[in-house]
Amino acid sequence: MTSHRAWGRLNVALWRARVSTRMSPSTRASDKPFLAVLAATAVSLIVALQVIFLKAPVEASMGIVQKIFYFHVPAAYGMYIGAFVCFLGSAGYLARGTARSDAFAKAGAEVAVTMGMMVLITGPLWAAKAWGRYWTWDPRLTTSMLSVLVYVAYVVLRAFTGDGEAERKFAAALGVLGAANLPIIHYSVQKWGGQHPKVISTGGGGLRHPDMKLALTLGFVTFTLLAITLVWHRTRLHLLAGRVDDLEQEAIELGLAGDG
Amino acid sequence: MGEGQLTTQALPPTSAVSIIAAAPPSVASAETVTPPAPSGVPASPEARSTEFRAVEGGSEMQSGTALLTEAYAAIWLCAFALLFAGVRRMKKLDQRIDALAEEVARSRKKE
Repeated sequence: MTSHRAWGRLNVALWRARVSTRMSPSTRASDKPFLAVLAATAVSLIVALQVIFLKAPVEASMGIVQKIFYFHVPAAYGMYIGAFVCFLGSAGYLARGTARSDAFAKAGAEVAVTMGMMVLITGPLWAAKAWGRYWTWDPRLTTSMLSVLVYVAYVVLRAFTGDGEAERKFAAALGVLGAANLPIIHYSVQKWGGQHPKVISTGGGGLRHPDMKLALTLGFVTFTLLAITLVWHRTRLHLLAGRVDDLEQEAIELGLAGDG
Repeated sequence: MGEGQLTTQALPPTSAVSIIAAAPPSVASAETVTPPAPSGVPASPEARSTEFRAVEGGSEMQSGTALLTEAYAAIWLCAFALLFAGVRRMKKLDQRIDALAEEVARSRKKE
């Protein structure tokens, strides 16, 4: 026998979940900060494109292909943001075991993979022109690819295994250990040399023209906002999915819905 | 090069030979072997109309504009792949919520 109180609770929860999936500015006050960040990302992207393609000068020896740099380096920075978020969420999950930490870690890993793919595609396209070949086993390239593969493993693990406590803990351990590679990527050029350019790390003296500096700064701002927007969106999505799972379970326990 | 010639003129012929032999290969060969003409030298206008010459690894094998466009497209594809996956997941969640709400409404009517 289903109690009226349980029905009422389930109805309210369903209404809340439905509002979350059909997002609009007027529906929820908590959507407004997210929409503000989304708008800031869009504006920043438009300004960055304007400066990169129309204002920043063409580099003397490499030509127009050097402009890949203004996406490639900020995308690598975005990958660091995603990986750091995954580390924080994973450590939080191991410490407290909350669904929010788990969703945060999952979102961070997905953003790290997306940004990492951007880095691994744009880098070789630049290298094709600058080095005459797409790939070389340079320390920074190798460690970057390794890091992307760690987060691909995380995402695959979460997608194709169950969502139980053991899987979550295993993924959280991977999220914490995967972050260990990030400082190695950053310092690999200084420690082991290699062909990878050191335009920013050598005291920032590699970008002499002010418009080149402006283009790179805008690239960093845009990709930081993009990473924040994507992490936020994915975290909300994972939290909502978890809530719907709980509601279905509750409905089954109340005898309202079948197991399928 | 000029200094080397002055030194060899001041020394006996045997010493000059030994200096050339002891010099690094690049210096020795520079004095004895004429370097080949660079392959990238453009042909004369007359030759261009009668023959095409291939250059291995020329600087214009890859168009910078094409590579930049590909990189730019790849960035958008990666970002949109994640957004598209998110929208698809949101739709599925919406369907599950609708099905659950229908189930609740039907059970309530029965009661």
